[in-house]
Amino acid sequence: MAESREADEEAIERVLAGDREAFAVLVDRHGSRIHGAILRMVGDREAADDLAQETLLRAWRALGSFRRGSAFYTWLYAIARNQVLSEWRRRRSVKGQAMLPLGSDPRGEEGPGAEPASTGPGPGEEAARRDDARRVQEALGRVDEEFREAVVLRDLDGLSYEEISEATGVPVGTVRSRIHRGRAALRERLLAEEPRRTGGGR
Amino acid sequence: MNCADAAERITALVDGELPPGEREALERHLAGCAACREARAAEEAVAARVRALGRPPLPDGFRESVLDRIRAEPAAAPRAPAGRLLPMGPWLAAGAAAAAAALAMVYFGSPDRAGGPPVALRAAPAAEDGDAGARLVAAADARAPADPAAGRGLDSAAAEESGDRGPEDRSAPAGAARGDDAPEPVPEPSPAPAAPPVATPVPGAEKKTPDPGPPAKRAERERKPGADEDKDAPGEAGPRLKAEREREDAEGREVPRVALLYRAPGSAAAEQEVDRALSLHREIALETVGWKDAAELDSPYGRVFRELAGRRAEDVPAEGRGGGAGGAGFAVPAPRDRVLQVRIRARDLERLREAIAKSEALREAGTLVLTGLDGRALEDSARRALEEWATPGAEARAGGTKTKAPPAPDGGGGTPTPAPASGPAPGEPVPPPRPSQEVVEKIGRGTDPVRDGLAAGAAKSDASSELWVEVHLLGEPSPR
Repeated sequence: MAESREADEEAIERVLAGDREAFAVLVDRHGSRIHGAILRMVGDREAADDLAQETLLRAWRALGSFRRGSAFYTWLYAIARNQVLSEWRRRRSVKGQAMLPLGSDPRGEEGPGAEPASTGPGPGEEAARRDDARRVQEALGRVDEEFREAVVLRDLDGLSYEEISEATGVPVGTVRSRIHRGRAALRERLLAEEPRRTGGGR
Repeated sequence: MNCADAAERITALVDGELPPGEREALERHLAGCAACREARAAEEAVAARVRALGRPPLPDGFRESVLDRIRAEPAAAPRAPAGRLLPMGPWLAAGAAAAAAALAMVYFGSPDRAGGPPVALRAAPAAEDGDAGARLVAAADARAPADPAAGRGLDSAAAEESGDRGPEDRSAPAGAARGDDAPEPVPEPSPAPAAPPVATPVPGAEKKTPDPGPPAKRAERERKPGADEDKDAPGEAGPRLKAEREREDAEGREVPRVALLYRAPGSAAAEQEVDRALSLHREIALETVGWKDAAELDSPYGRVFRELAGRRAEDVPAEGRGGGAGGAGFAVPAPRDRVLQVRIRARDLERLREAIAKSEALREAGTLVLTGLDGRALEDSARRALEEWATPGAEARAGGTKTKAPPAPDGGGGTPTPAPASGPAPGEPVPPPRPSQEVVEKIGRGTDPVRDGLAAGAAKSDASSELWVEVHLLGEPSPR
């Protein structure tokens, strides 16, 4: 973590000093991660692609206000979050519902080329894994947004409660509560669809 | 603990976010509750399935597309806010922009006490510490220092500050202290145990008014039971600890120290995080001596940082920071100053280190570490760095506020900062020295300073001895 932060800060300094190309370092280091988080949040790959690009562009513009010493990813996520919230709002107004269930998009992440399956387990296992991922993603899409966000940031992005708190602006206690409720809701959705798979939580 | 209490704690446990104290309680509950064990397993399973989602690869051309868009941007590289590129700019800007800049200073000394005492984990009144520190300092001042250099630590700053108050002021607390009995025989001024003084915010302190008030009045304030005291009874630990400190001083022992400053991210959560940090130390502590929650910052660090915060808040635009929704990015109100003084066994240092290392939040927050295994070097470099960083004009200001105090052996740095009244001093101004390059470096890029700092402290201390640990926090109340 130490070195990574230094790498970020070095790149940031270079960008601030006028070297636009140095931003590539940040894209390489955080692009996939932010894209992944956005994808799980909006559940739609195409939208996620756009939002992730937009997020990085906005990060570039706002880089001068990045607080050094803080985590770049957390900062970046906070920018992404605004995009995601707008997207949610847009969908609500368009569809009259909270959002598209994750995975409802045919081009969802389980689509062709979505996952680097090459090095994974055998074809059968891989298929089962994808199957499970699809189920989880669908279920996640039906979890309330704020809970879903907390779960995604925690379990997918591996952020600490404090980082989630910082990125989302809610107290740590609330973060914990949201993760708790989000996982419970997710489990409920999963159980509803596949009782035997998640029974007992194992 | 019942199952309802356990529910969310299980979440935190699964995430490795449960403070040690709660963790033990929860684990006891889990040991006897199959339903909750099942809940934990279920939660772990769900979390694992989400993790297994993984991240899809970026779409082809994603990277180039982003970079192309950036190349097409009209403006040159984004401009840094003023001050950002100053040597300490980053850190300061960070501190300022953060809604809550919480700094914790952990400070170690190895008292090398053979007949280690006792000790119950105990929380002292919130207010006490500040006064304890003041009294300690006062005591140190009052008595002829055996060796001015020895044991001069962060609290020597406090000593200097207290020196500003003038002799009468110093003598008051010391005198009061002497009246109380100490838990164990100690060199001269044994601090007051029973009726812990309240760290009453000294009105003048913030404004750097020299006089905190007539000695008598001050003494009275100190004896008054604190409104904001902890629930726990004031322990005798404070006095004893101070006595220990004094003994060390008297013996001219040099105490290795490590100071760590945490900056908690700006949000309501900062406060919780700070509390968590503190509870961590309290958990591990053999005893807790004091705990101060002062409305104003009267420590040297505190004042410097408060000034910085006020100044930098204007420089650092809120937008783009931490996200509009986020907890950061608003202006910084004056921070609070809290000091916790605990003693731990050296062998528990590792435990402490692990606990801190486990907390990503704490590691993240640890942007600044000042290590000086010589207490004096530590203090000096810290103060200088901070003062210089405060602003280009720091010199003038520092000159006005800093004073040489009578060389104080300063209770062995028992109290890093809690000098309650710090005013412009009647003494001669001390020109602010430049921060050492090393310090600047560390501040600029401190990454895992907590661990490093603790390791340094550990390296210097005998595992069988006990350590003084002091946590200094600067942070404002959360905007809850």
